[in-house]
Amino acid sequence: MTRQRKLSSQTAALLTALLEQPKVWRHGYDLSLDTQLKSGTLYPLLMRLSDRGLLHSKWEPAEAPGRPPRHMYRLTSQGVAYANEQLAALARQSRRGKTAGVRA
Amino acid sequence: MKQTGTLARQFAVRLLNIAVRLLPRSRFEWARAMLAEFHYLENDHRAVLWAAGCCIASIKERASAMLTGNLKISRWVFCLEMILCFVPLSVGWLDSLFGSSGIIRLNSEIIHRYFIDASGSEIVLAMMISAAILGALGPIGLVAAFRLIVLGRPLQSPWLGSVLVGGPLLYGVLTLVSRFANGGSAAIGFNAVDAFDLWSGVLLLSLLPALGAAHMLLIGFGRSAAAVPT
Repeated sequence: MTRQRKLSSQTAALLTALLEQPKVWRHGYDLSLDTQLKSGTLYPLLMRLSDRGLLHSKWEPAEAPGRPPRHMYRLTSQGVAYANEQLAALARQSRRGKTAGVRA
Repeated sequence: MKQTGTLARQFAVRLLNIAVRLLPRSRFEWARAMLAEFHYLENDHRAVLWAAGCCIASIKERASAMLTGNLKISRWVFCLEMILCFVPLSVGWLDSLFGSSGIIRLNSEIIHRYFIDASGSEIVLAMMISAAILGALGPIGLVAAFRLIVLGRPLQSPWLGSVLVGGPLLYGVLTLVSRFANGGSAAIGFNAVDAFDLWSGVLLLSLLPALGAAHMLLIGFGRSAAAVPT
């Protein structure tokens, strides 16, 4: 049985960034800049997503000589479905919260 | 990793080396990923922040591996723990079967002479039989533990898990109740003549096997449950 917990804002930011161009491979620093997540938050999230089969990763050879290969990431098809579902649920919750706030 | 460049970059390299050492071995590829990314950071300030973040990520992963309680921690420590928890119960079980007063030596004459005809001894016979039955959980626990350690297969049956935890506890409770029934509260107190034998028996044959079984179930659950990023 998997736990269903509310998506954290950091995971939501990462999923949003990865979902913007789901076919494009992104590297860690690029994702860090895009999401404003520090490496201490970003990498544990990437590891969890990868463990669950939601994230593909590959090593890409460096373009410039003397640089190491880079680890690149993009969502799997399962990851895209998961991200769409979770972000839609988050948006619904947010709308409900705003409506309740207006009524109150 | 070689330390070159400014003082800040050298400090960042030191931090990264710590981060790589802290990450569990199963996360080696991620350590390489963090190191590789570091080489693309031109700004020293950002490099230090990146390396510090990598240290935090490594600490989180190390803590997560410890909290989920899986075999990544150390299967040798787990193996020793299981031996400590289940071997005394297994030895006790063998003694209750084949020992000098084991139930295998009982026959109708002995039962009549020492237990049925002697008033108040029926409870001792009941305890001997219950020890022979519940003590079987010792070797069963050992087999289940080694199956988990060697083959990585957790206990599938929830009722067997409950029996492994509940059985030894039941034996401990029965022991204390029978002592209380025979000798009152003084018989189970720490001032009783054989208090050490009684309480070491309860610890080794009841509490430790129950705790060991509970830990084994927890580890088995940790192996089968998927962690969800939140």
